Amino acid sequence: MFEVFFSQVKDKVLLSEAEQKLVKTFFSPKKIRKKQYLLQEGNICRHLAFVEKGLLRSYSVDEKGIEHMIHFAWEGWWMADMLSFLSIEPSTYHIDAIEDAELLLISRNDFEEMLLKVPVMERYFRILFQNNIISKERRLISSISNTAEEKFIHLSATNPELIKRIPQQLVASYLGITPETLSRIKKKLNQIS
Amino acid sequence: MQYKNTIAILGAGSELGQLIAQKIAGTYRLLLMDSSELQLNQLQQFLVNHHPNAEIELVVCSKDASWEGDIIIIAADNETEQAAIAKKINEVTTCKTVIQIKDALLDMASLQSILPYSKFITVDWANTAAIVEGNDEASLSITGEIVHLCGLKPIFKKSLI
Repeated sequence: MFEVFFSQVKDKVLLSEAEQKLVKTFFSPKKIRKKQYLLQEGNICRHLAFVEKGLLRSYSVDEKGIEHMIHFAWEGWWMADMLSFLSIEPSTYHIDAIEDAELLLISRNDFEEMLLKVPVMERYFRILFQNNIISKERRLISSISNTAEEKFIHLSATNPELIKRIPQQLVASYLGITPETLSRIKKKLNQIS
Repeated sequence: MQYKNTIAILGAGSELGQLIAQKIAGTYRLLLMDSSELQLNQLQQFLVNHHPNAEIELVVCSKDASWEGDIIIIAADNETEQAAIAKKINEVTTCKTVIQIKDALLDMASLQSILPYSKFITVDWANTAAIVEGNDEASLSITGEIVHLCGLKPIFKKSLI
């Protein structure tokens, strides 16, 4: 139940057996089924979710009912609306499962308590948050300065798993392009290679 | 849109399990588990007839039901069965609200020691009121809501444990 989690944590920090045992007491294991919501727009995001198994997505829905993909998370990734989680304000996102998922959830209070009781986890989350800032900056730069083709090439290079695992129309939405444009780009790149 | 909590009722075929399922079926998504398949199927049929829009699933394993549930109600009608269920679900109920339903007329042992990392609540169920006891404020509140939906008056008692 915690295999992927501890393997991922141990890639970044060292945790003793006793610390592992204590860390486990702050997480709530949760299974959700495909298409089931973890968070709906208008609700406060009360948990950080670590994906042990399965695939989640976060997205917003505009006034025309069109979905805009924000983020995907599969085994070893975290998912939350951090803005809502940290500010305790209603979320503007939905989070649901693209595949059946097994998650580990931690509430804000338990998160704070865990960081106090197991300080090495604070270092772990600092590293995660740093990586997250870098990744968001890169995505922002790419979205305002790259062509659709460049965006796709960049995503393929930095995150090939996403291209392989996520349905094409969701990848297109994530890149901010239409599925038809994505299809054309893929065809063109295939012909070149 | 309000997130709909999923409640797992373990021992859903018991008298109190059935009553709770009938009263809360329209409000929450339910996962029903019982060792008696016959009672479970009868309950499901009743709920489908009376709450056509309710989201109800039958689950054969108490651990799976608890893993998926946000809130777990242990409603089996004898303490041996309740203790056996608690032992099975311990691993997947960390930080979750677990509500033990105790018939006020029976002297049933608390399952708190078997589920040390859950947000544990006991409900002493009588005819018109129920004593709701526990430590976690949010869990006490949601248990009060459930008791109220069942037509009983919740009387809150802060646990000394």
